[in-house]
Amino acid sequence: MDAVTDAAPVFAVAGVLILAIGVFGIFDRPDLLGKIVALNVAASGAFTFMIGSAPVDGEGGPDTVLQALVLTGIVISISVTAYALSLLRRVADETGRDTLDAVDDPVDPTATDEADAADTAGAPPAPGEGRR
Amino acid sequence: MTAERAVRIATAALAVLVAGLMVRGALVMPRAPRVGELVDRHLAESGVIQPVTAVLLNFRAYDTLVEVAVLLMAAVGIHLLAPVGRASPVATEPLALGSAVTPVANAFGTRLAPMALLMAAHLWWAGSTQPGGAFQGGTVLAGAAVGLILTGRLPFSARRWWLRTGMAIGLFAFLLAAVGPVGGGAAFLEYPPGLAYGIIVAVEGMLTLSIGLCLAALVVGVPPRRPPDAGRAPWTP
Repeated sequence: MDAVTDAAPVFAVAGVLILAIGVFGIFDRPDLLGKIVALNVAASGAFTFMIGSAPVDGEGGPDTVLQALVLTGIVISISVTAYALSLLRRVADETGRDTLDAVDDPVDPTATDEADAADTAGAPPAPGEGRR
Repeated sequence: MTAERAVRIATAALAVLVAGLMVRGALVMPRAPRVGELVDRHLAESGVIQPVTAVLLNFRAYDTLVEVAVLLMAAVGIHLLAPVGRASPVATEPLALGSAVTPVANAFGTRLAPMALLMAAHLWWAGSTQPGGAFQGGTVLAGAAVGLILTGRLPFSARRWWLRTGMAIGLFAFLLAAVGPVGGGAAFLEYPPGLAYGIIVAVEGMLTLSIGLCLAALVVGVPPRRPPDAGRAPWTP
């Protein structure tokens, strides 16, 4: 058994654990940025699991088809993250908040400056607020 | 026990369930014959001698074609979502574009970019024989582009025709290679015999450029459309 073959089960187990942490985070974090980060953690876990559980060929590398699938997955993950961050930026732009709680209650763009400023000042959750 | 605590425990249980099912699936799954061996056996027909490149650009080229389309759609999508400046001034703050901020960034921006370009070209060219290819080359290209954009040396706006063309040309080249041979009686994505190497290298070259530009666009994002209220006090948390 060479080093790669020995390490593979460790990577597979670590990948599952990282995936579980990410899945927990996606549902547990109230803020959208936290959810996006958790989604990336979960995706990293899935990729690690895929490579760790892939059959290892004679030269010591994981299965080439799985390598290609994970490479594809990483690029998709980057695309999803960037698009999700753009959605988050738009939500913050429309509502002044970083959660989905206020999406149905957008700030009135025609509001006076004072009302607008007051709304904006009260909108971003203070550190710790909305966490628990 | 509060309701919030119960929800967290249920969430944790869900995460454990997902992990458990994944482990169970991996354990009970019948050991499939290694697809990697199939790749090794047919590598000579793929046109390249690097197995991962052979999978990405030939055996499973359909995945890669759709993946490049997703990357382009994400880059277009973030332009559609450009903030308009309504509730949160922080969302309309200009991105960190403009003049160089530090002498270090200044020096590295100019000195690293040519080397990164060379590296990207090498990775593209090496992809047919060694680890490398369009995605690795594109990533290095994106790094160079982001460095230049952040130091204000590369005007980067979707209004520039070269940027829009560059972002899309990889997908178009790939589609051309996929559809072109259909006229000669071949299947979709079936390269004509003898031409596979040339097609893969050409498509990968275009893909390197497009992936680099799309990734750079995803990193720097899109500046807001005309902030309606430029005189507003800066947002403070």
